[in-house]
Amino acid sequence: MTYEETITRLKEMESRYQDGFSSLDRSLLDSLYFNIFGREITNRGCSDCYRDAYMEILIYLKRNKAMPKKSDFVLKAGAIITFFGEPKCYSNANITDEAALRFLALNPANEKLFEHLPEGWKFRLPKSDVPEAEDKDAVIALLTKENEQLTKENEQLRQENAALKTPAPRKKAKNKSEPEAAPAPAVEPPAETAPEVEATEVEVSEDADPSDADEVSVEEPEDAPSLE
Amino acid sequence: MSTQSCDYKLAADMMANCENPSTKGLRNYGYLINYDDIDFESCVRDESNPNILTTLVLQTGKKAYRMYVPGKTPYTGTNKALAEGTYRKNFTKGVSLVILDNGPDVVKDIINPLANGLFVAILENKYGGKDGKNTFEIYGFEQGLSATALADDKYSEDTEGGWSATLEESGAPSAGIFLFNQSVAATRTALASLVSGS
Repeated sequence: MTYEETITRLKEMESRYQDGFSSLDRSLLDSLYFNIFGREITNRGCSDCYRDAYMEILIYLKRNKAMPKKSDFVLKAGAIITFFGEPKCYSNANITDEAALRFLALNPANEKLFEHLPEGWKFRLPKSDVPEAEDKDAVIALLTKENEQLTKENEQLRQENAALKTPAPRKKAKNKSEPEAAPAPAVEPPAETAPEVEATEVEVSEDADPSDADEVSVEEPEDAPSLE
Repeated sequence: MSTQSCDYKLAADMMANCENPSTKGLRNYGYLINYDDIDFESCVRDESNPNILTTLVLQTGKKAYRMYVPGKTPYTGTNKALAEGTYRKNFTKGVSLVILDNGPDVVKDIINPLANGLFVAILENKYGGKDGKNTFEIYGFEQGLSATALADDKYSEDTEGGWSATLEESGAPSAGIFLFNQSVAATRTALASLVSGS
């Protein structure tokens, strides 16, 4: 109903204000009250409540000189818009363009809940917070790659940990050739050696086979070998 | 189209809820909708439980109608019962209401349509159940409610000059369909929107 039609109807109802509104009048007031204020008349069996509603509607219309501005989007009767985690819900009484566009952007199937959609609404859709299908694949590929890298690093660390835990042989000197494999040029005294094994200074033959590292003869300690 | 056998097996314990005990009865306000006014293609069911309708929408230009039965035990006689079917059992659902009014407009707009039409009713249970999902129950959504009794007894204490009506849905596959959209408050908003129409 337009503003003029509504005012005309309300003026026509004025004569029944004191005696009591008819059921048709009450039905109209129910509809108007919901459309303007977005809520129902509290007690439908109460004549005073309908009189109050009548006055509220009349005052609102006289003050605003127009019916409340409606959104370009019209929902079907019974349809409401809710967003997960948000308490507010939207019906035809309080729907806004922003809420409607946001709802439509979530799922194209939501279009069937609308009775009327304005022209070109698809161009007004907001950018979705959810990444599109192409971006999703890229994200998955990236995460898979990162996962593989982390798995390799984890395996490497596990191997190093296992190597460190392996006890050094008791009767055989520790092979000094091992530190030569260390990449650092300045080698500090190895602190990770097994504490129960005293570091012995041995002279390592250049011809020593790395596979025979454990079979090194123990000689008298000489000067500290230079580790290169 | 492939057919499959349905797995009719219990899936939950049958325990009485001590924190939120069930209570009998219905509230005074209900809703009645013409069956053909419903836009079934646009109605949405809960994905986890098809017995819950999250959205019930109407065709363009249609609306739902409120009904009010006063008293402490409104809609007395409303019930659901198991019935034998050819291939599987189903349910007969009945809604009993009282129209405390009479006259040519009532006959034209309410009684005559009730006598021959098909309807869907939504009633509010006093027991909301867990999370309020039991609050609003729908009758007639699957087969439609049709009148099995309409009476105007001028001296009946039950109608006081009005009409009593019994609407029945037979052959309903589901024992119960409920209207619920995230919260009872949101569902009430949806019902208000049904009454307001489009």
